[in-house]
Amino acid sequence: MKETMQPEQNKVAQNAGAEDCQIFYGKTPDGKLHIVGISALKVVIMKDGANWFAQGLDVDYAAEGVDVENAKQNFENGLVATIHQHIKAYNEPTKVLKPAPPEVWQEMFYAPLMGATISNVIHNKYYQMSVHSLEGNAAFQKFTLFKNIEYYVEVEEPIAA
Amino acid sequence: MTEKVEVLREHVIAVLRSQDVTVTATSQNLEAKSITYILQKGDVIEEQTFPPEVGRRMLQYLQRHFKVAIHLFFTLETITSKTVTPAIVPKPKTA
Repeated sequence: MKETMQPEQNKVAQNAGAEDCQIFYGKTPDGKLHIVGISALKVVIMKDGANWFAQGLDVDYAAEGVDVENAKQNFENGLVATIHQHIKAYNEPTKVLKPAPPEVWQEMFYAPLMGATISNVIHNKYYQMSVHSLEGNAAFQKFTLFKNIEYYVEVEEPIAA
Repeated sequence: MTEKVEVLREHVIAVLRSQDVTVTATSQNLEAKSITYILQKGDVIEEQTFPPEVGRRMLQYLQRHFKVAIHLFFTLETITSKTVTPAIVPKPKTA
C-alpha cells in the first residue's frame, strides 16, 4: 500500500545551538513508517587515549572507535539505531534529537577553536535521512554517508624531539 | 600532552549494570574487536559500540547520559559489591 506523508503533522525542530542544523521528522498516517532527516550535523572527533571519540553537538550523541573512520562509522550507525530504538519505544524520536549541553559545546567546539590545537577542519553540509518501519522486523534504512555529516577533526600534532 | 585513561569494556559494562542500566549485546565486529550494545536506563535508550578499552571521554559521556558517577568506572570494589551476590554460608556451630 502506498503511503503518503502528511506535512502538516510533521514535527520540525531546529536546535537552538546551531543555526545551520535542521532536523525534521514525519510519519505516515498509520504510524508504521517514520522518516527522520538531519542536515549539517556537527560532530567533533577527538583523540581519546588509544581511541577516537566522536561527539555530536546539534544532537547529543557520541560514539567511540579505534580510529577516525571507525568512530565515524560507529557514530552514524549508532545514531540511526538509537533513533530507531526511540521510535520503537516511544513512537517518536524527539527525545534523542536534542543538542548537547552548553558545557559540551564549550569544551569540544568553542575552546579548541580558540586555541591552536586544531590545524585541520573539515566542513561538509548535506542531508542524512533514515526510514524506520515498525512493521515486521521493525527494520530501518539509512540514506547517508559520512560526508553527509559535518565533521571537525582534531589533528594530532607531532611532538617535538 | 594527552592523558591516557582507558577502562576495560567488561568493567564498564559491569559498572553500568550495577547502576541499573540494562545492557544488551546486539552484535560483534571481529575486525575492530568491538561489541555493540543497547543501553537503557529510564527513558534513555542508546545503541553504543565499545572497543576493547573505553576512553575517558566516553566514560564522561556515559556519566552524563546515564547518571553514573565517573569514579565508579575506576573503582573495582563498587562493582563487585553490587554485582556479586555473596553466598550464604551457615556459620559453624561453636561449642
